[in-house]
Amino acid sequence: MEHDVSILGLFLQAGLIVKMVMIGLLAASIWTWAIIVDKTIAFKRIRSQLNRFEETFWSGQSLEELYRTLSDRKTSGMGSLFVAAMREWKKSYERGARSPISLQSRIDRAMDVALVREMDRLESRLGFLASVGSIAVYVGLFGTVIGIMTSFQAIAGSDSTNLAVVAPGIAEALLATAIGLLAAIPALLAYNKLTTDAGKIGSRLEAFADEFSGILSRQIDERASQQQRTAAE
Amino acid sequence: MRAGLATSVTLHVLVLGWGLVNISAPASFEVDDVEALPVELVTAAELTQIQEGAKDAPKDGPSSVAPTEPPEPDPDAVNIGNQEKDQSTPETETQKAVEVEEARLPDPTDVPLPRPAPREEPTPVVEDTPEPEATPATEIAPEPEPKEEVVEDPVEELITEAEPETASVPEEVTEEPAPEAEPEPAPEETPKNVQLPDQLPTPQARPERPQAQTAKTPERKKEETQQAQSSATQEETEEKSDEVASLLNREQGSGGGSKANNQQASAGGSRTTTGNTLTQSEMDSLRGQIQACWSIPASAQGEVGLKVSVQFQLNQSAQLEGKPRVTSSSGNRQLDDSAVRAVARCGSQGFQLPADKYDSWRDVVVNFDPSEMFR
Repeated sequence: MEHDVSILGLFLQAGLIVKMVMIGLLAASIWTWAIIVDKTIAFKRIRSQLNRFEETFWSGQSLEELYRTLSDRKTSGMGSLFVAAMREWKKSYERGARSPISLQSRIDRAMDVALVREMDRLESRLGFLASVGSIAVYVGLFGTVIGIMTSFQAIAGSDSTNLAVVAPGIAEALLATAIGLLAAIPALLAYNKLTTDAGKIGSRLEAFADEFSGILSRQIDERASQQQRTAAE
Repeated sequence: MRAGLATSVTLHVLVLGWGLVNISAPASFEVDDVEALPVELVTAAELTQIQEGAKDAPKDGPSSVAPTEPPEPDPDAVNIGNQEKDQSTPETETQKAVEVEEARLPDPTDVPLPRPAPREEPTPVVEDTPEPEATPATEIAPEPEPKEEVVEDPVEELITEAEPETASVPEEVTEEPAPEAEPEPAPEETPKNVQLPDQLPTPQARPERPQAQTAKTPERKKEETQQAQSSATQEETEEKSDEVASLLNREQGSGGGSKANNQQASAGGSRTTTGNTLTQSEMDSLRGQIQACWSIPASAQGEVGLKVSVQFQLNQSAQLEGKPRVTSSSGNRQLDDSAVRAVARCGSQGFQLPADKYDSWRDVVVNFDPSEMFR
């Protein structure tokens, strides 16, 4: 009996469980690479957005004007933080809120919420990469063990210990581990890279949030002292 | 996300397609068809230590194969009539019967009466006579008798005429020997008649015998000796196969050899039943001891093909006795000297050798090969 030892042949000869394992691992690999491509592009875009926003923010432009231009369109990253804080600020003054302390805390909370939302978006689907990176190897190993087990069962039935009888079954079983490793290695690498990238972006956002919060609190204090002075006069 | 998925799928399809085309199937190993050889492991000790066995060991089986019988002597070659080939025994018996008849026939010849009768009637007798006479005439020279018959002219003429006929028809000789006797005795008269009946029939048959024997018996003997030789070689091969089988046999050899002789079954070992030759490990040990004492001269280092054989004698305590001498020189004087020095240095201290195998290491020849030192 001549065995087709090409990769396709090995796949077609494999048992049902091994075949399913292989297909699953292949799908995981495809999805992993889709995430990797997607995230790399997204992070690149976000970084460029951050740079552009910081440029415009520190260019000395009036915050009111900036808010007017940004509030119309869909924002992300720092823009969304800025918009969230400014909206809270506007609302409070339009309704004539008196307490500057409560206003400060409300603005901070709004920015926190925006920050968490942004971080969620950044880190979405990275968990899948982590799962593939750690589990794909085991899944592949499971396929291999099952494949070797079935091939040994077949050997036990065929009364022959010739290596030619043993080899094809083991080869097709090992294919499962190979696919598992093929999926796991890039997933793990990409997960580490993307999480550090997301962390960097997140820290940049947090830094901006803190800075903006400081600017706003200074504004609030200035306005409060102004009000007190006008009230005294 | 859709863009990412699309790129991922296309990437996978490309990689898988490339893989299926390029690393589809590795070239299978080229394996020669080798038939499995049954291998039986026999330790060196088993081969080297096999001996005939101890004298007092119990018999293991029959002490010998079937005793060899001396070949039967060749039967005398027998020839019937003029036949060139020897006839087998049954035919000789029939011939003897015929001879007996011949012997009886002469009886009437003893009686002188019938003899004259043939003379009176020459023609019928002569027709019979030429046939038997022809054979003796051609083969036996010392028969002067026919010449005496020459006196009778018609008879002689007829004889000469009849000779070719007799030569062509030899079978008749046996059939009618009686009439021959009758004409021959006639000229010689009665005194010879007494001898004739005995002699005459015999020479006719016998003169051919010596010829046949000299001519053919040697051939026969050769054939038979060849047969005997072939049977002997067969026996030898059987013996050898027996010996090989006994060598391969795991059991220790004990009394009762399997040799095809009727002699004593076992010669018996002198002291021990183990072999008296050094085992491989003992040889290695000796080699190592000498090697430790050997310093290779610079001129011989790295040289390939240089070899010195040094012979030396050892006493019972494994110490050097006399001087070691070079039996085959390497051509490199310094190397030869270094080998002799190595043996002398080690030998003065004494080697570590099994004392019970003194016979095997009393006289030692050691080959020194500098190329093997640097392996």
